[in-house]
Amino acid sequence: MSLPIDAIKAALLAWVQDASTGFKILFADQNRPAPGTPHIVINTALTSRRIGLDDEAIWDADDAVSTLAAHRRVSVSLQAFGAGAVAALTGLQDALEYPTLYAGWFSGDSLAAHTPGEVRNLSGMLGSRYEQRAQMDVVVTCLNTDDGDPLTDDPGYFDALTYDSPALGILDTTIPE
Amino acid sequence: MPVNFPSDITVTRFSAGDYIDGVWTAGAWVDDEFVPADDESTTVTVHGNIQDPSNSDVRTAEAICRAAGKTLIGAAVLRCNEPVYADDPDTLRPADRFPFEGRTYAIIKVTHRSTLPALAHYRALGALIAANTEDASL
Repeated sequence: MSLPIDAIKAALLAWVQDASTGFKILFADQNRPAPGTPHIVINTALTSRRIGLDDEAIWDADDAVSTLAAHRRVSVSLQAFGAGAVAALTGLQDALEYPTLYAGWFSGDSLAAHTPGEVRNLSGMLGSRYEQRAQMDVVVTCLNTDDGDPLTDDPGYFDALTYDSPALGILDTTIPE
Repeated sequence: MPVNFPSDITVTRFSAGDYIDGVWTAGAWVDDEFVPADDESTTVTVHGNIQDPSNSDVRTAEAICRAAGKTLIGAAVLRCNEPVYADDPDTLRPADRFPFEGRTYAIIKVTHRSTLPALAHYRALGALIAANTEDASL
């Protein structure tokens, strides 16, 4: 069981590719050459937390199996580097507000996304020159799965009961007989 | 006539590449179409020798690494009779790597020593690569 990382990455990539122009896009921590600017780095899962005190278990009496609704809230960081970094992230934030676009990026994969905070202007020195940089948090809500299948629990059930009571003179009795 | 170095040294040479759909992919752009490379890296054999760095080499390596936002954790110098390459930021080709005393070094600077033709050779400064260089992305 795990986070649907591939689905989250695909949704984030589609969103950032569609709603930013001229920026090279890469996922973080690949240990590969640093691209030139401008580019946007997607840090896919900074944190993951359960929503609620515990996961809701939905009991299926026919199959005697519980399905766990393992909703998770995942925080994502987008970092933009180079000219237009701040505008790119504010544009991405705006793009989430278009329902028709949002549905194509996230809803189809049972994902939800919103930007809970602000776009931060983190421009600073790189060597002897200023470089424009910006960062924005994104929260993605998803459902943990077992490689795409729902998480299930098979606790079993009693199909027979045996009891006795010497005081009442009841011998070993099993129901149903 | 370059220096006749006696030892064979295996250098790992990487393909250029780019970030395709967010993921590093070895290959090159041809007529606006990205053509993946057959292999991310190949090996070439050069004749040369490898030595510990001088103090000046270490200071140079520290400055180069610091400018790239990296920390220098070790250095070595490769002298050889064939060209070797540092990383190329234009094509995003990673630097050549060479082994020394069980560790791997990435070339960060190359000079061609040719003042005396009989002693002409390439001098490459390498920075030690941490062991955990695999893709760490999710």
